[in-house]
Parts: sequence; structure tokens; C-alpha cells
Amino acid sequence: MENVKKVLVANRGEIALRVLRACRELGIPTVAVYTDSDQLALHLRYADEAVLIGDRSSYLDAEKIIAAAKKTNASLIHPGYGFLSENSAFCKAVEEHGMIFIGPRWETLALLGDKLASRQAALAAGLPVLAGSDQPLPQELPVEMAYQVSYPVLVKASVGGCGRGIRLAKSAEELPQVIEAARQEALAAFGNDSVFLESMVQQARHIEVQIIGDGQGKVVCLGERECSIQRRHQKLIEESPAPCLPESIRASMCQAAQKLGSSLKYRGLGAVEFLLDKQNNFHFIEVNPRIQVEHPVTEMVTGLDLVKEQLMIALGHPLELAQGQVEIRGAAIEARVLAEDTARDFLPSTGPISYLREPGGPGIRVDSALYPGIEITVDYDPLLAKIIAWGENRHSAIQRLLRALDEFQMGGICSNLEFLKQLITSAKFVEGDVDTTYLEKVKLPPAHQDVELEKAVALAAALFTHQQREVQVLPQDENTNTWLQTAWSEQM
Amino acid sequence: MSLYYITIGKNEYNVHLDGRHLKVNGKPVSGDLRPINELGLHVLQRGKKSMELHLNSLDGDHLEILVGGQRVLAKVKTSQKRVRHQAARAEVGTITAPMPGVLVSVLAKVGDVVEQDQTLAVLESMKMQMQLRTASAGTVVSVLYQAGEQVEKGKEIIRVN
Repeated sequence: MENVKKVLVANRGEIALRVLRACRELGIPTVAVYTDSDQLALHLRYADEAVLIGDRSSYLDAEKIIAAAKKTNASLIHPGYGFLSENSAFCKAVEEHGMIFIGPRWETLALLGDKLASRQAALAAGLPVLAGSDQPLPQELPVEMAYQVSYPVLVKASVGGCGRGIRLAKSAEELPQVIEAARQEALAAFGNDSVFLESMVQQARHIEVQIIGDGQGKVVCLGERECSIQRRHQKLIEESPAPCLPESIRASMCQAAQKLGSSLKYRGLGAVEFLLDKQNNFHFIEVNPRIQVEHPVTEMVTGLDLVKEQLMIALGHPLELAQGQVEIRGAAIEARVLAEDTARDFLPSTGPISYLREPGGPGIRVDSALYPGIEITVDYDPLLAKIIAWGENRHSAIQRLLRALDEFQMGGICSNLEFLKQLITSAKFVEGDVDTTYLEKVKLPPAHQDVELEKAVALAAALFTHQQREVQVLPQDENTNTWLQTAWSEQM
Repeated sequence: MSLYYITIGKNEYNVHLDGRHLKVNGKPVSGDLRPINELGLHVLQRGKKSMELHLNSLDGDHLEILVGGQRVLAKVKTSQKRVRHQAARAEVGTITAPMPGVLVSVLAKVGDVVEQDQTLAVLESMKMQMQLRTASAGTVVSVLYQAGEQVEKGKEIIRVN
């Protein structure tokens, strides 16, 4: 076939593999890009073609990626998440080169990339927003302004995302320093130091609504995800549906997300993020205009393949899915397995994975790009794998997730597997009573110490060492026979 | 007869091996460890119970053991070696890189008088920034890396006396 369109995946790791898998199922040829640090990465071997684009920061280099697409005659570019996925200039450049960006239009990305502008758009569509400033803060903060704000207050970078450039100020005295720190972080991460203030909702839950739009105004809501379990603004556990959420609130949130999507004539996948306060009032925070790390939980409860839906829309097929067809079945929970040493303040853990066995069985999905021997480095983020469990209800999903985390065997590096197990068995989590500060407050039981297990391990360790020594000693014994020993001792 | 001391976390276990007679902390136990393959996978058979473990020798006397979704690090000492070994203690006044990364900033210079817990450098690794603080008050006597430089895990960056 001459008209088969080729997709270039401008990403790495598990999400690159996720997109490549969808393409393979649809019979779409693929191109991977990779960097010097990723020469042994799995995604480039999975794709039909692979192009080396440069040093480790090249996934952020729009020109190099467009050049790779031109070179391989790819006509669509899937940006994955992170890197260039929300970059409107990249999206625009892709379109100007006559290619298709798998995601929203560049104008939409530009609008949503500016948190202040998206705040205005949400207001215009009738969504509730948080109290805050509608303008970026001036470089020189007027002294009296610090005293007019109610604390605690969040200082947020106008551009950017992923929790970076967000800082909390607890008092007027520390506000100037906090603003400066947020500006520096935003400048380093996004090249823009504009920040604004938004009121801090205490004990809020972070709930996002998944939408998909055809770009003409039709927007379908695919349920919500609870993402309150976070460390340093990075999500750790996500689930759908959100537990203990009154049906009326769920419906209102979905309607609100749909309204905003329609008003933007939204194209592709988007996650409309809300904070839900203790009184169950929800407030718009931002839209993530891309596939999300946590998209599998939505796939598990809806039975849809979100990446295929993205590809179909990008290829110009009409969005056939009707709201009435969307049915949420059971519950799904995702745990992010990270390369970090939980015992040493969650420091990154690096090195080769010396042994690997990923979990499986009923209701379990593993999204990773791991293989035995893969070297985990500090060049990219510490996400090793996502374990997603589906059950007919939340209780069964938790049981399955726990069983799967128990089955996951990974040697050579530290991971947060034990921490995740403690977390999903903690009483409040099981009840579904969590908010975004849960991980700061929760006193997890000390790491489970099973003395009987330790004794068995100690026995195995001794037997193993003993066997190893015998193996090493035996060949030498053959050389040191009595005759040689006698000759040697006589020499002395 | 062989005697092994196995340290797991804060607990130490002693294991006697004498032919088929095994003792853990002085109590007789049964057990047989068999390799499943050459990749380190083993089965510990104890009566009717079989437990799967993955054993891997690390540097020195350490073993990494994967069992039931847990990763256990064990220190193994034989009875002879035990006396001679003594844990090297990190010097209080040095700041070393707890992970490999790039130094974002170095906030101290030689001669600076610093207080306990003062941040002397910022290290970035895996998109995370970490403040390196001094555990003791004193005077900075050496600064071995500049901002922007790559630092390997364990390397000394700053020394305070």
C-alpha cells in the first residue's frame, strides 16, 4: 500500500513502547528516535526504523525530531508525555512541515500552556476556578501585596507543568523567597520565570477527567481518575473511578470538563484537572493536553484503547464513540514503580537490572520498557514500570495490585515496591479517604519485618555462600595433591 | 563444620552447617537449597514448603536476595573473617555525592565558616534537586568540584573541619 502513513514516536521508555504497540496492532509502520544515552533502549528495537538524534537532551530538540521524521518519510508525530508533548511551537512546526501532530492544535496547546490563559478559558466556559491572581506577579513584589494574601498560598509558574515551578508560601515573610525559588525553577525547567498566586485548598483531592474530542466540538468524557497520592507533586498511585465520590459531583465534573473541551473545539486526548475540597466543591486547575502516564486505568475500566483513539482522530477518522456508549466497569488502580531508595530519602537508584521478572495473571497489566540487563541511569526520569490492576470492584483491584507487586522481582537496583505495598494496604487508602497531603502525614507501619522469613533468607544465604566456596575450592584441590604438597613442603 | 554470620538490616543470624545438620541461631532446622538455573534462581526446600529465591553475589561479602517481592541485602561473614572486619565509618566533616549527578551550585568556598545543617551545594539527578548539607559546623577546608560538573556517587565534594 502506498498510502500507509508512518508514525514517528518522539519519546522514550514505556510510553514510546505503548504507542509503538498500538501502531503495530493497527499495522502502521513506525519510527523511533533515540539518544546517545539510549542506544540500548527497548523502544528503538521495537520500532520498524530508528534514528539516532543526538545527546541525551535531544528528545527536547524539535528540529532534530522533525529532521528525523523528514528523513524517514514519517507523516505523523506522536509526542507521548513530557518532553515536547505540550510544546505549541513544536506542534506548529510539525504542521508547517506538512506533518500531523498527534494531539491538540497548536493554538490549543499555546492557550493551555499558559496557566493564566487557561484559567480565563475555564472561567469563560463556566467552570469554577480557585481564588487567585489573574495577572503574572510583577518582578518587584509590592511589599503591601504580600500582606493582602491569605496563607498558605501557592506560587505557580505560568508555563510548564508536571508539578515543577510550584511552591508553597506559608507566610508573608517567606513569600518573596518562595517566589524567587519558583521563578528559578520555572526558568530552569521551562525558560520562563513568570509566576502567579493561587489559593491553596487544604486537604484537597486531585481528580482529573479524561476527555477526548474530534476537533469539531464533539467531546466525550471517559470518566475520572483519582490522583491524590503524590510525592513532591509527582503522582504515585492513580485510580478510576475515584473512590467515595458522590455520583452527582462526578457527573458535574464530567459535564464541566466536557463544556471546556467543547468551547476549545478540543482535538484528541486531554485530562481536565480539578481540586476537590472537603466540602466536595471542585475547582479547575489545568488541562494536560496529551496522553497521561495514568491513562491505563481509564483503559481498564472503559475497555477502550486511548492511543488507538488518538491515532484514529489524527488520521482523520470521525470520533464514532458516543457518550452513551461509555460504560465504566469495575475499578482499576495504577502504581508507579520508581528507581529510588525509599530507605535513603527516596534517592535515585541507578545501575543495571541484574534480574527481572514482571508480574502477570488475571487483571494485571504492566507497562514498562525494561529488560534484564538494562542500565538505569540518571539521564531520564526514574519511572521503571507501571503496574495496573483491574478488579470487579476497588477491593479486588487492591488485592490484585498487592499480589502483582509481590510477584515483581527486580535485582540490581532499589525500587519503591515495598513502599507501594505499605501504601496500598494503609487503612486510610483502603477506605479511600486520602488527599494530596496524604504521603506527608501518613505514618506507614515500619517496613514489615518477618523474622521467620529472615531466618529462611539467612539459611539460604549461608547455604549459597557455602556452595559457592565449594565450587571455588574444588578445582584447586585437584592441583594440590599429596605429591605436590610434599614436594612443596620439602622445598621450604 | 562451618559457621556463617548473616546480617539482614539490624538483625544478625548465625547459621551452623555441619553436613546435613543445620542450625539457625542455635536451633536445628531443615533446609536444602537447589539452583533452578544458572541465573541465580534457587529453591529453598523446607519439608513440604518450597520457597523461590533469587541470589546474587554483590561486592565483598554482600548478597542480594529477591524473595516474595522483597529485595533483601544480606551481609555474610564466616567465623574467621568476622573479627578482622570493621565497618569503615564515614568521616563526619565530608560531604559526598549520595548519588551520581550534576552540581547545580556550590555555595561554599575554602575558608568559609559554616553552621551545622547549612546547605553547601545543590546536586541535580534524575530531574530532582537535592541540597547537600554539612553534618557538622566548622571551616571549609576543601572544595573539589565546581558548579556544572558531573559527580560520581560517593565522591567527596566538600570537606569541613
